[in-house]
Amino acid sequence: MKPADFEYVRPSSVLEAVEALAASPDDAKILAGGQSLVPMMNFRLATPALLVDINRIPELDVVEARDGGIVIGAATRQADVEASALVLQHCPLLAEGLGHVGHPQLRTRGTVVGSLVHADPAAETPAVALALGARVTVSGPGGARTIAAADFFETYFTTDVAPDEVATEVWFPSAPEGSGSAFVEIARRPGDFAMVGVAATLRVADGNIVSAAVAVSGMADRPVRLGGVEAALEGARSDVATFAAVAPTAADEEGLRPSDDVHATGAYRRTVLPVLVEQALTTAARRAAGTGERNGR
Amino acid sequence: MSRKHAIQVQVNGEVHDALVAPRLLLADLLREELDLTGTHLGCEHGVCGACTVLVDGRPVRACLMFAVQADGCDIQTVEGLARDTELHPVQQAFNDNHGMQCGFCTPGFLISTVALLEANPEPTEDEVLDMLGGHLCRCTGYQNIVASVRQAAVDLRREGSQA
Amino acid sequence: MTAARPKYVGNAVKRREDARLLRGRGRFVADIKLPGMVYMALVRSPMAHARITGIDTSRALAQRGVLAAISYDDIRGEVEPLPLAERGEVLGDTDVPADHVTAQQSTAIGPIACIDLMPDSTAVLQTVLADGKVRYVGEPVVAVVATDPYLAEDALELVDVDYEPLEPVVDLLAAAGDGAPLLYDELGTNVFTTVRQEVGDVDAAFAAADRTYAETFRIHRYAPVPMETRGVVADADPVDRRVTLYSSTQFPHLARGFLASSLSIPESRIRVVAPDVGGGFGAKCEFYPEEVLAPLLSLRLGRPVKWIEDRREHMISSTHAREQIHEIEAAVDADGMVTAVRARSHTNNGAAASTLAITPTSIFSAMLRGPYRIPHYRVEAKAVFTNKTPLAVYRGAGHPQAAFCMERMMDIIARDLGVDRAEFRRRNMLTSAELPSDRGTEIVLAGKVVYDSGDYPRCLDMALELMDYEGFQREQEAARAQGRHLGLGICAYVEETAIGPYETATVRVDAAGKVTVITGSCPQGQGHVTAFSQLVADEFEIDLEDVTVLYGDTDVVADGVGTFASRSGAIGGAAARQAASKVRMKAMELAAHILEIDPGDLEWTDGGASVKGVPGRRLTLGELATRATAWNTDLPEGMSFNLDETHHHQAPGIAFGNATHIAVVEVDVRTGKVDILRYGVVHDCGTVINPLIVDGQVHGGVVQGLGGTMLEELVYDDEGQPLSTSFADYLLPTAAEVPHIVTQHLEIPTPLNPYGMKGAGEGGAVGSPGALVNAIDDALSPLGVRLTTDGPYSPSRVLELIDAARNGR
Repeated sequence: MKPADFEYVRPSSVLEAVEALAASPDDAKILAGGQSLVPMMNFRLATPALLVDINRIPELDVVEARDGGIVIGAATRQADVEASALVLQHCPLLAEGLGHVGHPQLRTRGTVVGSLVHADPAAETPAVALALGARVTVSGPGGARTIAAADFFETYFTTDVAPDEVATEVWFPSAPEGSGSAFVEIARRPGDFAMVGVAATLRVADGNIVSAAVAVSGMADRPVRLGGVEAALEGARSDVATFAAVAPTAADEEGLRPSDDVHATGAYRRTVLPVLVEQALTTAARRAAGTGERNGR
Repeated sequence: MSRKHAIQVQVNGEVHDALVAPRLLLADLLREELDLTGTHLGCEHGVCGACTVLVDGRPVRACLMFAVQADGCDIQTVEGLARDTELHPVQQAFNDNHGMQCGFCTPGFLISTVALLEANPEPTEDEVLDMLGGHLCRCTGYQNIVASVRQAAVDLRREGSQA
Repeated sequence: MTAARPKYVGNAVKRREDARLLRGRGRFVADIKLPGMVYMALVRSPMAHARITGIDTSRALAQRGVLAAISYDDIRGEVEPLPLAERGEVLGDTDVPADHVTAQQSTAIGPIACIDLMPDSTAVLQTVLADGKVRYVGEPVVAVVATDPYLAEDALELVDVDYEPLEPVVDLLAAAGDGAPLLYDELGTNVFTTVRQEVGDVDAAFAAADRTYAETFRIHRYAPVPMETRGVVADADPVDRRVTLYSSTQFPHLARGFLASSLSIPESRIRVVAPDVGGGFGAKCEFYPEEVLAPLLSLRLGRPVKWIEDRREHMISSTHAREQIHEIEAAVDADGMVTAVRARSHTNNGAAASTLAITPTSIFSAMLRGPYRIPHYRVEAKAVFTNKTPLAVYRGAGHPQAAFCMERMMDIIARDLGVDRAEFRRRNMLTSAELPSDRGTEIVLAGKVVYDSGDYPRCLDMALELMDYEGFQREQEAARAQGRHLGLGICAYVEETAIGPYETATVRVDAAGKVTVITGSCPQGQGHVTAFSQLVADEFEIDLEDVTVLYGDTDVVADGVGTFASRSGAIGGAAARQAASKVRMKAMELAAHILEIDPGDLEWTDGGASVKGVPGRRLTLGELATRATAWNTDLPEGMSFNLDETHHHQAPGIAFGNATHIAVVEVDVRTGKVDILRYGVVHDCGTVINPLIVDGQVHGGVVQGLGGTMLEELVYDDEGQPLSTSFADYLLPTAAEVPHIVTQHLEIPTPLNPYGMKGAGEGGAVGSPGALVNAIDDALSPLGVRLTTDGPYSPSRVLELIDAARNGR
C-alpha cells in the first residue's frame, strides 16, 4: 500500500505555508502529525498533489499560557501536550482525553490541532474542545481568524477551515477554581476510537453545580454538547443522586444520531451513553471537590 | 514524477545522504536504500507497530512518516540496539523469557520497550500495557512479552545502579 | 572422567533461534534483494461476482517503468495443450473421472491444486488469474510488473477492466439451497463436497432416548492473519528454465510439486525456499496464484520478480477460516449418558477450492464427539461455494468448531438435567481404560480416527483443580448477590496431531564432531531449531551448541512434507532423533571395528564410544566421523561412507492430543463489556520436548481463539463486499485484552511415536472459543441468555443478547 505521487514543500513560516496552499488549494494538504493523513494516503483514499509540511515551523511548536488559557501550536505533539505541566494543571480534561488517543507510539507524532482539523466524529480531542469551548486560529490569504469550537465542526471529517487556510493553534480556557473534569469512553480495545466518548466538566461551589459542559463523541457526525443534561445540572446538587437522575436523559438529547457500524449499533451507543455520562459526572464531581486526583492518572 | 529531495539522516550513528521521492516512506528508506531490513512492514497504516523506530529518541511508526521528513533526524533501528557481541538487556530479556516466536513483530516491541524504559525506568503495569497496546503479535499471546519487559526493567535498573 | 551432562529434552531450554532475529537480522521474503529485481502487483476484482467483458492494459504498459501486464488470455496458450486422448479423460468421460475436477484442465498454466478433495467431490479448481469471470472481491485479474513497488501500484490504476455484474450469493445456507446463483455453472450446484460419517445406529438411539436436544450453532468467519503477509521472490533462468521461488510458505516441498504441476516444469528444475516466515497458522500451508505468476513473469522477463502482499490484499486474498453452520441433535438416556449425536453441517468455503478446502469440513465431521463416548453418531457435512474469499485451514482447522458445538451442547444438556456440568462431562468421557478407541470416523488425508492415548477425565479434574472450580461456585454466588455477573466455562477436546504421511531428517557429523540436522519441517516461529537440537543433542550426549539445524530450502532438504497440523515436533522430531540414533549406532559399529572389540563391550557416553570399564579407550564422534569418510579404506564390511544417515518417519496413525481449557469471565451487563479474569489449560501432548515452547504455543493459540471470540470478524455485505479490510476494522487482541494463562502439562505418551510425542501447536486455539463462550453463557444464563454463536462478543452484541432474552426473543 504505497501512496500516490505528490510534491512536497516544507515552509519555515506560517506565511510560506499559506502561500504554498494558495498555489493549489484544491489539491494540497497540510502535513502535521500525519497519523491520520498518511494511512489514508497509503490506502490511496487521499491523493493530494502537494503536501505542505508544517512540522518545522518554529512558532507552531508551542504550549504556553495566554489570555486566561493554554495555547497549543499546530506542530505540538500530543505526547508533549499530555506530559505538559501547564496542561495538567490548567487543562486536565485535555490531558486525560489524550491518554485515550491511539497509542503512545502515535502520540509522538500526532498533533492536537491536527486531530481537531481531521474531525473524526469518534475522536476524543474534538469532544474535549467542544466541552471546554476551545478556539482554533486559522491563517489564510486574507489573514488570521479565530473559530469557536461550537462553530468549528461541521460534519464527518469536515470543519470550517477553508482549503486555503492552515490551522495554526488552538486555545483552551484554563479550568476555573472549583472545577473538575473527566473523560470516559467505551472502545473495543484501549486506544481504539471510542464507540461512545464523554468529555465532562463541572464547576461546583458550596456543593452546587454552577456550570456544566458535557460533550460526546461517536453519537453523531460530529461531537455534540448535551444541552439538556447541562441545563438540568446547573443549580443542582453535585451528588450521585443528581447524576443518577440526569444521566438517563442523555439518550434522548437533541442532535444525537448514532449510526451502526462494524463495532456497534446506534442503539447500543444510545443505551450506553447514559452509563458513561453518569460515570463521567461522578468522577468530575469528585475531582471538583478536590478529593480525587486531577487528571485520572 | 515529482521533484526528488536531498536529505541527510543519521541512522544507528552513521550519517547517510540520499535523494528521495517525497512519497518514499521512512520504512522503505531504511529497508531498501540503507539495507536495514530489521524494521518490518506489517500493515502500512500504523496499527501493528512492527515498523516502529526511534526518531530523535522517540518511538515513531516508520510507515507513517516520509523519508523526506526525516531530514536531519537521528534514527535508531533494531540493528542499533545490540552492543557488539552482547545483546542489549531488552533483547536478552526477550530471549530469557521466550518473548518471541517468529520474530516479525519483535523489532517494534524492542524499540518501544527501549524507549519506555529509557524515559521511565520504573513503569507501572498500566504504563507497560499502554506501551504494549501499540504493538500486535500473533504468535506469543503476549504473556511472555510482558514478562520480558518486566525483567528488562529490572535488569536495566540494576545495570544503571552499578554504573 | 567427564561430568554428567544434563538432559535437554523435557527442560525449558532457551531458544537458539532468537539472537539473530532479535538483532533484526532475520531474512523474511520482503528482505530478499536480488540483482535486477522487479516488482509485481495485482489488479484484483472489486466485484464479488461478475463476467469480465474487457481488459485493456495498454495505458499501464505505456507507463514508464512498467515491464509487463498480463491477464489470463495472455497465458492461456503458453505451453502445448494436452494431447487429445488425455483431454478426453479429463474432459469428463462419464465412466473415467481421471481427476475429480471438471473440464477446465486443457489450459496451459495449470490451476491451483486442491489436495483434499474426496472421491465424490466435484470442484472446479482456481485458475491463476480470473478466466472470464470473477467470483470474489480480491480475485487476481491482471498481474503487472514494474521497476519499483510504488510504480507497480501506480500501474494498477491504469489497467481498465470492464465487468458485467452477476448476482452474488454470500449467505451459506442460501448458497447451498435450490435456486441460488451458481458460482460454477457447470457444477449445477454450489455444494461441492458432502462428507458423511456414521457410527452405530443413530436413529434407534434417538428413538430410545429419554430426552433429545436440538441446537443450531453459527460459527463466524475470521482468519489466521499472521503478522507477516504473504510474499514471493521468483528468480527464473529463462535459458535453462530453472526456477527458484522464495516464498513465505509452510510447505516448500509441496509448493515445489504444485509449482511443477502448474508450470509444467519438472520438480528437479525448481528450488523452493521458505526463508524466515513470520507466522503461518494455516494461511501459508496453501498454494496461491502469486506463487505461479511471479515465476512465470520471471521466466518471461529474465529478471527476479518480487511480490509482497500488502495488508489490504491479505484481508481479501489470503485464505479465510472457520465459517460454518451446524445443526446438532443429541440424545440422552435415563442415566444421563449422551448416547447419540446427529449433525447437519455446512462450511462456507468461499469462491474456490483452496489447497486444503475440505479439511475443516472433514475434521469437524470426524471429531465432533470429542472425548465423549457417544456410541452412535451420524453427520452429513457440506462444503459450499459462495462469493467470498476462499476458505481453508487455520490453527485447529475444524476442531475449534467441533469443540465449541459439543461443549456448548454439554453445558446445555447438563443445565437442563440439573447436573453439574463438570460431572456430566466426566460421566460421558472415555476413560483411559477404553483407549485405544476406534471412533468409526475418518479425517481426509490423515486417516482413521482411533484415539490412541490420553486420560480425559484426569485432564478435566486437573483443570478443575487448577482453576479452583469449587471455589469459583462460591465466588460466583457472592458476586451475583452484588449484582455482578461472573461465569466459568469448560472446554474439553481431543485433536488430531502429528499426522503423516511422514517427515524426513538427515543427520550428519563433521570431523569436529559437530552435528548437522537437515529437516523437512519448516518453522514459522515454533522453535524447531531448539527442539530438534535438544532431541539430537540428547541422542549423542553432546552440547546443544554443537548442533546445527537446516531447513526450508528444497535444494538442501532433499525430501520433506512441511509444518501444519501440529506435526513437526512429534513427526519431524522423531525423524531427527531416529536419524541421529542411526548415526550413533553406525558410529558405535565403526568404533568397535577400529578398536577391534565386540560392540557389546562399548558404551556411548558424552559424544563418544568408550570401552566399558576402560574410559581411556574412547573414540569421539568427531574422530569417528573422520574415520568414516571416503578418505579411509578400512570400514567394516558393508558399511557406507560418512556418519550421515537419513530417516523417514512414517506416522503409523494419527496421534490424538487433548486438553481441558477453563475460562473465568465477568460481564458488565450495563455496557456489555466482557472481562476475561482468569484462564487455565491442562494440556496433554505426550512427551514434552521443551515446556517453554509448548506453553508459548498454548498462549499464542488461546489468544488467537480469544481474538476470534471477542474481536475478530470478517464482515461482508449482501453484495459480497468485504468490510473488514484493514486493522482498523479487523481487530486483533493486544496485550491489554489477554488474561494471564496458567498451564499444566499432563504427559501421556502415545504408543504411535517412538518417543511418545504428540503435537502441541494448535491446541490453544481449539479450546478457547468453547471455554470463553461457555463462560459468557454461564455469566448471563440467569438473565435467560443462551449462546449459540461463537462470537465475536462485542459489547454491542452482548447487550443485544441480554435485551433479546429480557424480551423473550
